[in-house]
Amino acid sequence: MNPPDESRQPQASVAAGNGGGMGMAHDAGAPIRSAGLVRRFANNKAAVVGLVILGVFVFLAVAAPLLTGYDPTNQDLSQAFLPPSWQHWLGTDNLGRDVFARIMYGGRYTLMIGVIAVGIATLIGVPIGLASGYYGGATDMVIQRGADILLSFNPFLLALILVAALGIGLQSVTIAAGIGVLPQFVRIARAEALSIRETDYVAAAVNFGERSAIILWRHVLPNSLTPIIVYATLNIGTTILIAAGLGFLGLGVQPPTPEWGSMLGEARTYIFHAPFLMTFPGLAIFLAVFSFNLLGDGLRDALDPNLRD
Amino acid sequence: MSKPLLAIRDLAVRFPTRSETVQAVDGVNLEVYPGETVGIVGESGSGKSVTVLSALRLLPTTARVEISGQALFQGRDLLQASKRELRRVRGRHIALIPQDPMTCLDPVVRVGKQLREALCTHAALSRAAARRRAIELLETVGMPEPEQRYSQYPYEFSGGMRQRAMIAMGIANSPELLIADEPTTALDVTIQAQIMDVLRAAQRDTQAGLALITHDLGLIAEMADRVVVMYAGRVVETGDVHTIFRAPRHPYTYGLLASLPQTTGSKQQLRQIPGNPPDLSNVPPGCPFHPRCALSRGRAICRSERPELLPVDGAGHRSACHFAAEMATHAQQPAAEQSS
Repeated sequence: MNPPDESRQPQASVAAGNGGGMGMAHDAGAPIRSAGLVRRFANNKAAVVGLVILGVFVFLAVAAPLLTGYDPTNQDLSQAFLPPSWQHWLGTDNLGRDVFARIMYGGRYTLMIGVIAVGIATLIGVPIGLASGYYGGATDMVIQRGADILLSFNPFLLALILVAALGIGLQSVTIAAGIGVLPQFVRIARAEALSIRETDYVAAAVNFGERSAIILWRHVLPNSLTPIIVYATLNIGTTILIAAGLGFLGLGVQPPTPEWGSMLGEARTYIFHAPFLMTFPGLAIFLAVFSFNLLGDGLRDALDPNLRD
Repeated sequence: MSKPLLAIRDLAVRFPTRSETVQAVDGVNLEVYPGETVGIVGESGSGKSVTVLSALRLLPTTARVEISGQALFQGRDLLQASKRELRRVRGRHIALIPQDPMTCLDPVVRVGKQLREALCTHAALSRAAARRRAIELLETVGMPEPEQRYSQYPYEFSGGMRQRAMIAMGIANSPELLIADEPTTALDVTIQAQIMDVLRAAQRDTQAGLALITHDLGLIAEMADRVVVMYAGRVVETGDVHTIFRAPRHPYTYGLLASLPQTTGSKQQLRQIPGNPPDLSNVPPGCPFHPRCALSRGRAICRSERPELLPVDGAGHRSACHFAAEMATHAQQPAAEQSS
């Protein structure tokens, strides 16, 4: 990293301070400024593709009623198993429901589950992990052994167990998917806290007699946000997969609610008869997860000072 | 003389590891009186920082440390104090000004907010009042355009400005004792003098005692009232700054002064003290300095007996050398006082 400019004169530095952009790109510790962030992100084609795919899904989910006249739950058995056509772009399912409409409305559930589940994991896991890493000692020991136990299960398996305990439904699937990935958030936050705890600015804060809780909130948390944001974005894909998997097994969101995983599960029976019924929900899940992965990677590259330019 | 602000008594610090024990500090006695500046000098690893940091219980939490002795601040032993008491003392009564200002400010928090934090930790201030006081402090430490600087991030500051900001945070609560741990080593030479001026002014304004840890003898000559010379975790000589510079009574101090480069007279090779400081997990018996000492010359007592820190001529001048008296008769005049 380039050292900051020692020779900067007071007069000049005011201008430099207001101009901002140039100096910060070279300073590892510089807070992330939106202008530079957006530029770096926009230069990353994969990330932009991810954002566009995600944007399309969000648009379809939000504007679904305006884009299609079909009701996603309206059955019409005379129209069952129709292949894709101008009438039904993605065909109709075994009950004659329009698959395109179901995928558009289904996006609402899938995206919501993904975001809320990761929100749960972040809001619970990060504070626990930060405290664990910062305080160390017995606190750390207890929390990390707990995390070890949870981590010994595959996230999906953990979610499955939780659904068994919580029951089936939108709410419990969301909670289960969130808790499924939670131990990893604890770990990542702990790792951040461990390294930030050793920084001079934390030592300085201790020197000035600040309380641990305040140091955690004002110094450790803000400095650990970057990897946590990236990790959270990447994990939305994971939680979507968990929710879809549970849906596929019939343990997730219940019919007739059009959720992609449960659509896939229902379509499985007709895999040879009407293969397109599995193709489109599967493709939707794939693209949604893919878009979050691209987005997460792009964010990491844009936020990581070591990879800049 | 008045009562000492900080009195370190028989402080010993050991870092036990699996295979050996590092004796970083060994029986150090040290006082800082109100308003005075005590310079603590020594090579890297002589224990000067560890002495002060362990007295304030500021050593890294990851280190396994054994500390014995006392560190009395205004009569209270900090080594026995509860976490809560310590927190009340730190920043309010004792402020540490760190070595490397580049890394001591949180990069994602505005400087003004960090200053406000330092203020509000120990006093109930409204946001506006804290802001006013913070800008005042920035002005005190000679920060140009304090209003603008207040709302900037640390990356917009140069090293000198960051150190000014750290000093501002240090004096925020008018502490009785300032501890500056090599406050200028990370800075440009041209900035050093300015920072020392700021520190001196800050000390004068707050009437605080200042413990200045450094290996820069020039800085000591300029700033200190009294000097404590440390070697291998022990105090080898102490006295007022003029005595130490004019008539050192310990061969190590003499060597340090003699190795200062001369800027006058004919060119000559830089003098040095032969050898290296001892391995602190295996300090030589007797006087730890004897393998490098020009005065010892293989004399048995240096190898067998550890010299006490005993008074030599002059008030408060003490030296831990068996042959301190010999040094006086030699009348060797080292480089005399040099100011940087």
